[in-house]
Amino acid sequence: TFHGSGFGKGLNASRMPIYTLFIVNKAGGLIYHKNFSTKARSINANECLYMASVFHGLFLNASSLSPLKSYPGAPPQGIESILTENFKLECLRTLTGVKFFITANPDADYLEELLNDIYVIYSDYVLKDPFYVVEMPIRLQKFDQKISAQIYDTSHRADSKSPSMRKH
Amino acid sequence: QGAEKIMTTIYTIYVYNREGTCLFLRKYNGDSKQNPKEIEIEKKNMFGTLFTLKTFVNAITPKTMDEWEKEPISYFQTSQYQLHYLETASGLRFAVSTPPDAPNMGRVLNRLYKLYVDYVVRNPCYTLGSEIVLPGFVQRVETYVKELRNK
Repeated sequence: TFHGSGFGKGLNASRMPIYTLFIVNKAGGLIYHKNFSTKARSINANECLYMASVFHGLFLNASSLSPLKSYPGAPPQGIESILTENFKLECLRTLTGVKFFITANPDADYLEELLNDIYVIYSDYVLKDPFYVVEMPIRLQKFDQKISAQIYDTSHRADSKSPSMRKH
Repeated sequence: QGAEKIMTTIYTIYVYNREGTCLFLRKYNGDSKQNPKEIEIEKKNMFGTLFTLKTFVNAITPKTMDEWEKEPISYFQTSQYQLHYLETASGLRFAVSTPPDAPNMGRVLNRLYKLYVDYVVRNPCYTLGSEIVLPGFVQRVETYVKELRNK
């Protein structure tokens, strides 16, 4: 469900440049997933879990294929972004192994900053919740709300920066 | 379209056919000694990664691709390198790894494909699907890589 009213009059769900957010735990299991745009592919829950794990594997593979040698004990330098003609994916891997990745419009250039903001929200509303067990799926309403607000805020700011986007 | 000079270092070039056989693998970033077994593993690993990447992208893309549409993946990036990708309609895959700050490599990949068509496919001595050792192709690719580095 989308928070329609009050979040930028020109930016409804079909014009949202940010598509989906995934959060994957250290072991590669999906712990959070949310669509923000009607353009985002609607995947069923099982496929979602599967895809998150596939990404985790891809991430590690990319790290081992690096042409540069990394020193032993270094954190895996995995995929940071993927660019295709239809979308861009950006990934943030925290020092504890949690991966946040987000799909968006191919010319979104604010994704790294957005992921850092999301990480802060995760720290505040998930990790600091005394009832939350780490690495488990996130089912916290406050987190949901804050994430939606952050996404709408960022894409609204991005939208107002480029007037050409209004012409759609 | 203005012909701006692309300038970039290239680490490695991989070429695979649609069955997954590695036709060509050359490293251009100094001599990191690798024994043949390690190289074989790398060839398989890279193909597996490219294949998985394609599956993943197809599952997650907001727009469903029709079979005849051009392969949409441009590149993926880690903090240490970028892997640029071109897949042709015949299932031929070119992958080029560069430092993370490389420019758009579309033209480079297309140029490599053209070199492949001109100096490999059109060579009567070459069997499709076998490893490329033809000096004509290998030399020209090496020259091109040097050209990109020094321009």
